[in-house]
Amino acid sequence: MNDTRLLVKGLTVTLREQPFTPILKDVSFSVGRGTITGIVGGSGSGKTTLALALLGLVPPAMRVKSGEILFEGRDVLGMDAEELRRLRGARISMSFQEPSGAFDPVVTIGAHILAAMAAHNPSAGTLARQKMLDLLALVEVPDPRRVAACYPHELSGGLRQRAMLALALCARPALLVADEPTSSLDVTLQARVMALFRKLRRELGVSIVLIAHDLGMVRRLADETVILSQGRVVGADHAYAKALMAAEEM
Amino acid sequence: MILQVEGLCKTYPGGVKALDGVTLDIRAGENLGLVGESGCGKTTLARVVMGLVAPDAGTVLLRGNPDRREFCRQVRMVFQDPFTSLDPRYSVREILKEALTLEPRMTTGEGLTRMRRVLDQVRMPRDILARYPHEFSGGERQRLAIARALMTEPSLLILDEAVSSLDVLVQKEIVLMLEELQQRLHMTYFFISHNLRVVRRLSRKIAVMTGGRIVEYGDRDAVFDRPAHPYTRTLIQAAFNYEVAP
Amino acid sequence: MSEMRLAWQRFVRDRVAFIALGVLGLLYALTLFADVIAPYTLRDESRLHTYCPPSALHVLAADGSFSGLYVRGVAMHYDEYRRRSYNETQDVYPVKFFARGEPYQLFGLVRMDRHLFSVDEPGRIYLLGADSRGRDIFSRILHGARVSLTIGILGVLISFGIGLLVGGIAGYFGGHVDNVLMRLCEMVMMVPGFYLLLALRAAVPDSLSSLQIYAAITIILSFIGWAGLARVIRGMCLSLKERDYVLAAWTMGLGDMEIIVRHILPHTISYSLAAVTLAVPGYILGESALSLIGLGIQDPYASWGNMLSEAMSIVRIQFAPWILWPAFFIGLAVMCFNLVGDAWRDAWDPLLKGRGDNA
Repeated sequence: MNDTRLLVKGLTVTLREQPFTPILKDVSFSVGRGTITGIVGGSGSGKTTLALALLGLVPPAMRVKSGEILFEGRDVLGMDAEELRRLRGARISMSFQEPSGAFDPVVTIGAHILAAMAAHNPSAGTLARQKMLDLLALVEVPDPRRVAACYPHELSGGLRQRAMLALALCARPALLVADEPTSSLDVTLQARVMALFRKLRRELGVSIVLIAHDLGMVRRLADETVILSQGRVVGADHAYAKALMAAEEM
Repeated sequence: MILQVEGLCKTYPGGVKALDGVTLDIRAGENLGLVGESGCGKTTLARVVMGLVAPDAGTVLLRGNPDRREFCRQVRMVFQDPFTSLDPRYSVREILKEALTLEPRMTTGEGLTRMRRVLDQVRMPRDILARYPHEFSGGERQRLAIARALMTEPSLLILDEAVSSLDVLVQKEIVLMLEELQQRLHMTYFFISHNLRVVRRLSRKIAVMTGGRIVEYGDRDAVFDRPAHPYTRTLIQAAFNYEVAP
Repeated sequence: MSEMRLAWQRFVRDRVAFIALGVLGLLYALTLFADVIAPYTLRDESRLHTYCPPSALHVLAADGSFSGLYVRGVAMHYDEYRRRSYNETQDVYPVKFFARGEPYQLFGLVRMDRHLFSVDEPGRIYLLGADSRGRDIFSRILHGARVSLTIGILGVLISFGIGLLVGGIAGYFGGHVDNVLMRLCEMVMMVPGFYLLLALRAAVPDSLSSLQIYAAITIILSFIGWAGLARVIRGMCLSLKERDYVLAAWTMGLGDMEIIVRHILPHTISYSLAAVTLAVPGYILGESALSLIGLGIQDPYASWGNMLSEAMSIVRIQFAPWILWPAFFIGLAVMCFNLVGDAWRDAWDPLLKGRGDNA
């Protein structure tokens, strides 16, 4: 059990207004050190709520009814705002489907990353810039110096996605939650980002929770796959899982 | 030969060459699938064909005829995002009725019969005519968009990423429905997508586009089994094996 | 339509704006029935009551018994500094409701002579005091509201019409058309509004009837206001014409005008409504400013602006502060329009909240 980074036990989340229609119902799974866990589900399956809950961000309209989320042995849901703030970004970070929302349009990519690095490690000093460029190189941004000087809108979707990964990784988190990291990208870029995830896992030992609707992709990349249907975890022999697999075949 | 596209060129202000001499033929019953990545010019091609964007050079002919009225009746387009392609202010009845703009001789009764028929065809209940787009899910809206396209009984349907924004399961339903519609209504599809799986399922001919040019064109099996152009190989490798050569 | 309904629901939640809307409704209702509500007509004056202060309303007779609503007569006299002052006399003039008075035509059609309330001559009832010629300020505010409140709406409708047309054409067709029309707008907007107002007013001959002056001022005001609205509408059309449903309509063979009318303008309505509401105060203030300096509505016709021209001397304000009442109504109307417009804009698009917009 020492290798378990994240443990979700019996997590049930409901709408505040309608406590008997759960968004998530008795969800349990674990994420080991340096593993990739895929969470697959259609729209409305609760996967985005789950992703937010992992960061302690339960939407205000919802309430955790029961269950716990243990990250490195500590209960995320019981933390106060200050503890959560320290946890997020530093130990757990998240990347979003649409990268443009994560960036301020009038700040360069480099400045974004430097600011995030300074927030987590104020003593970095003059080395910070080199570290920032290394980070961009790590996520396979070609010509990091040029990209660091760019504004978000000047980058293509694929580059923006990678720049956001760099931002998410700048504090060297133990767990990266990636929400639909490839669904807005073209097939070749999808394949590139997936290769990048493998490399990050290998080189940084980061655990990755990959949230997607594309079962075929997740099965190839993830060590373990959790299929969510209407807020519940379903097994590979469940009708929904079978339908998903059949849809892959087209 | 339904559609002949010849030597289309389009350069946007700013110097982006979206179309660089595109020539295509679509024969009746021979679905053409156009694949390529975002920015390759496939949406521009669809828009030029539909007359939404004026080309710098080249021609688009429907059965050898450049007449726009006839073109609008025979060629219909289904857009990618069903949340933006239906005007939220109009009911299903008004949306479907608008598709008959070029059929002014049709009586209200005939129009209503036609509406019921297309709703049957896309497997939507008939009693939704008074409802509004926001009452429907993404998949249902896309069915409505397809129903609207079917109103004039077109011979060619241009589907621009028509299933890309939908859930995988819904994608599959729509694709199955499109297959069935084709068998019943004898339409031809011009299917534009970056999703190679869907394209492979629906098309007999495949065109691969990159940088505003068609780099590969041929029968589906030939293109998928023996791709001639290196770009096609990269695309297939990435789509089916999720791998890309470094 | 559901978009509109949602916005309305959000709007109603804003209590202050809802009250402001109610106040505006009340003001317009008063305007509509000004002839009935006002005890005196426009031409009524009484030189014996120059700057008479607001009448005190009494309900108790001299012996302390209840006697019904009445006012007393007033007598003017001068003090040792030749300052005018009024004392109440013992004459009692009961307030009569729906009694016959001076005749008028309701809505310009129905001949009537009943007033909501009045007192018999020679008694005078001045709810808000009298002006230099002994005219009832309350009555004149009601009559003046016709000019001041309608000129805003009418002016805005005209400039909105022009703005919708120019903005719609510029936005939908784009390119050179857009360029030429927008440069034109900028030229109009470049000239400081008030000087343009004066210049245009100077171009209109003096010897006009009051109705002609009213029309001239409305047109002049809308000539200044349309440019800003045109730019707003143009911006919206630019983004609306790229919507998929507009493209879809085009591929189905709809004509340009059909598309503009069916799919573009309806989507600008909710926002335009806010822009228009926010533009009304400018017209009200513009008319007031012109009339204040004597270039607008001429005596004996009333507007809130020309009533205020009496208040241009500090001495008069000191001795008869009630001549400032029209300013209160201008302020009230302007504030209500701003509150309603702001709230409506926020309700229409919660994302715009707090963002300054000088449309």
